[in-house]
Formats: sequence, structure tokens, C-alpha cells
Amino acid sequence: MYIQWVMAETIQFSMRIEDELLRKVDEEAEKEYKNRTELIKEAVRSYLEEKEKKTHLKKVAAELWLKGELSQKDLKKALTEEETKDIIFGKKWVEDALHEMRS
Amino acid sequence: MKCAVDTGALLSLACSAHFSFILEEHDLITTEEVHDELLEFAAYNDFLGKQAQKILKYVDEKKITKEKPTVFLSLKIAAAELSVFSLGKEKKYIILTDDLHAARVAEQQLRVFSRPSFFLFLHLYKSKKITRQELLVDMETVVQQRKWMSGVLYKYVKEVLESLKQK
Repeated sequence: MYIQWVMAETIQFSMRIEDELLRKVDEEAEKEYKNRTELIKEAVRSYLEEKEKKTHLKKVAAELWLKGELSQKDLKKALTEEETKDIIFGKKWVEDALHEMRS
Repeated sequence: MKCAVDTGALLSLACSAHFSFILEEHDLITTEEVHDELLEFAAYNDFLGKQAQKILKYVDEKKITKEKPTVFLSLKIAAAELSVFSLGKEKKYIILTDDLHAARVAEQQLRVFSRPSFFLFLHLYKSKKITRQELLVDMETVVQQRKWMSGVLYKYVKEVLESLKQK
């Protein structure tokens, strides 16, 4: 039986980072028996996952509001002020486009 | 119809299996700023990157043309959107965007009106170039690929269209 490891394609790029921050990265990497690249990759992945979770909650709130299942007051709790204004505007904006095509 | 189209709207339209129909039916006009953004997208080989590559090919073939506004509107929105809204307003083109924020700011501050990109999918359906089922599939493809807020609105529109079918 073959076990084939498929490596995801990677891209090399350079970045500039402050001395102090790099030292902290290296210290943390050493504690976790990882190298600098692995630690930075893990941190970026975790940051993006966290952002994705927050966006998912916002999406759910916006979808519920669009269906009339969430009040505007509760929508404002999930979204920023600008996002709330945008989605309220957006509902009318897309409904106007639908109406224009149907008339 | 002559439409000034921004990056997000072009990407949404390109997700559709009927993008070539849209190009046959309408004149899509964009700007240098949008072209630059498309080049950035095209650097990635993911789904949206491939759509950007496809759009850039159409630009090279002049199936999508580029124009420059002579005057830029005074609006605090991203450069690419600003160029498209300025061009559309100046040349009286229909402005297509999926950038809700830009659409709201332009409408509320300068009464410059725009339409969401799915307007052209509806147009294809109304002119019987695509079926209702094809329209819904196109909408779903965009729902899956777009940023959260435009994705949410596309999903809402798709659900409204589905409910109309049931009535």
C-alpha cells in the first residue's frame, strides 16, 4: 500500500519585521519546538479562522434580519455602524433592482 | 445597455456560465484602476483569480473596453470604485457594482445611482436568453464566491426569486 503525501504548493516571499517582535516569535517557536516559519503560519491561520468565525456570525445576523427574523436593534449588535447602514441600504437597493426588472 | 463596471461586479458576472451572453448583449466598460485590481486578483490561481484572468483576456480582445473619466467625483470610496462611478456619471452609463458601501455613499452623498451586478442576470432572464433555473444557478455561483455582504444580498435575492416561482 502506498501512502502519498501531497504537499500544498507554497510561495516564497520576504517580509520586514521589528527586532523585538521577531525575538518574541523565536522564543515562542523554541518553546513549541517549531521553527519561525511554522509559528508565523500557525498565527496567520489562527487569525484568519477567528476573522472567519466573526464574519460567519455577521452573515447569520444579516441573513436573519433580511428574512425579518431579527430586529434592527439586534442587527446593530452584530455589525458595525457602517455595516448596518450598508446592509439596510443594500436591502432596498436590491429590491429596487428586482422591482425595476419586473415592471 | 452601456455599463460602467467595477472589479467586484465584473468578478460576479464572470462567475456566471452565461458571461459571454452578457458580453454579446451589453457593452461593459471599465477603467484603468479596475484593470489594475484585476491584475492583482489574477496573480492567484484560485477561483476568483481564474475569473480575473478570463476578464483580462476579454479586455485584451476589446470585448470589455476601458475608458477614463475626465473628472473624478468627490467621494470617500476606494479608487477603483471612484473611477467607475465617475465614468458612469459622466457618460450616463449604468453603474454596476457589488460594493454596497460605495453604492450607498454615492447615492446618499451625490445622488449617483448604481445597480447590483445581478441586474444583468435578470436582464438575460427577462429577454429569455436564460431560463429561470439557469438564473438561479448563476445567482448561487455568485453567492458561493463573493465577499460576505454581497454574498448575503445575492442569497436574499435568490430566495426572493425562488419564492416568486412558487407563487
